[in-house]
Amino acid sequence: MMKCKAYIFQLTSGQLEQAPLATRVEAQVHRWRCRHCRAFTRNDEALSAVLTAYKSHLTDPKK
Amino acid sequence: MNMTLAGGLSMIGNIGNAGNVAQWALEWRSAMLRFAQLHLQPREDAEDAVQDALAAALGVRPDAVAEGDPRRYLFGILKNKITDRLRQKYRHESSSLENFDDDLDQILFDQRDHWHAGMAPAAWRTPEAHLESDQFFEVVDICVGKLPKKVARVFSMKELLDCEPEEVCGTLNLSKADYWQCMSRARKQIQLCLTQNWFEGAR
Repeated sequence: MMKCKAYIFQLTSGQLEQAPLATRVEAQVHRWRCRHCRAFTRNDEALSAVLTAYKSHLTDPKK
Repeated sequence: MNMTLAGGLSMIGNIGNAGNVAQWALEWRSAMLRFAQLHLQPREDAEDAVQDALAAALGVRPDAVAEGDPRRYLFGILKNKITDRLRQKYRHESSSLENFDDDLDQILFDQRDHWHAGMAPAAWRTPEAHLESDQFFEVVDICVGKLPKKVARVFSMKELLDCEPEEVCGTLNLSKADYWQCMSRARKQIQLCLTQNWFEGAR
């Protein structure tokens, strides 16, 4: 059974997107069971949007 | 890039792209330098990459430049110049040997690999509401700046230079396992940093 540390590593390393179906199912089951990892996952999705905006901010000549 | 190039370009402003590029050098140089410095140290290396990018911009057909978006165009060239320099710099180095002290997991997780009490994350409230705030991006800057050096290089190549993982590994001469370790560390650390320094604060 996948634990928090392994789930978070799969997610944040970028491996989860490319992982075999069995791993993705295991990750989904873990998310259902763990509200902390669900919260982390939502924040990680928001972080992607933050980084896109940050990149735009960095290349803005008015900043 | 120094002011000599910008000045020289403005003097030959009617030749090819020189007029456009001279104007861009004045308008965009600071932003380009700031961006280059995220990836290249010392500052002189970053300045050289910006100068290379502006010089390369001279070589493109003027009509193609006039139709395009200067930001996308200039930063596209700059990203290639930065990647070239990183590739040269790390070609003979094994980044795998340069380990960072990855103690973050010990802070986040207990011995059973569950979240430590007090470190379990809570969902950020309305993160999209902060994306227009300069103050928020100052905190993002600080959080990115706190990454260990090796992690920062990998992270910035992937997230800011938009390089594919294979290109990051090839350029920095590191293994896929190292790449995953660095990306994971970066995203965990930045999320934690933003939680502690922005989302948990009374802003």
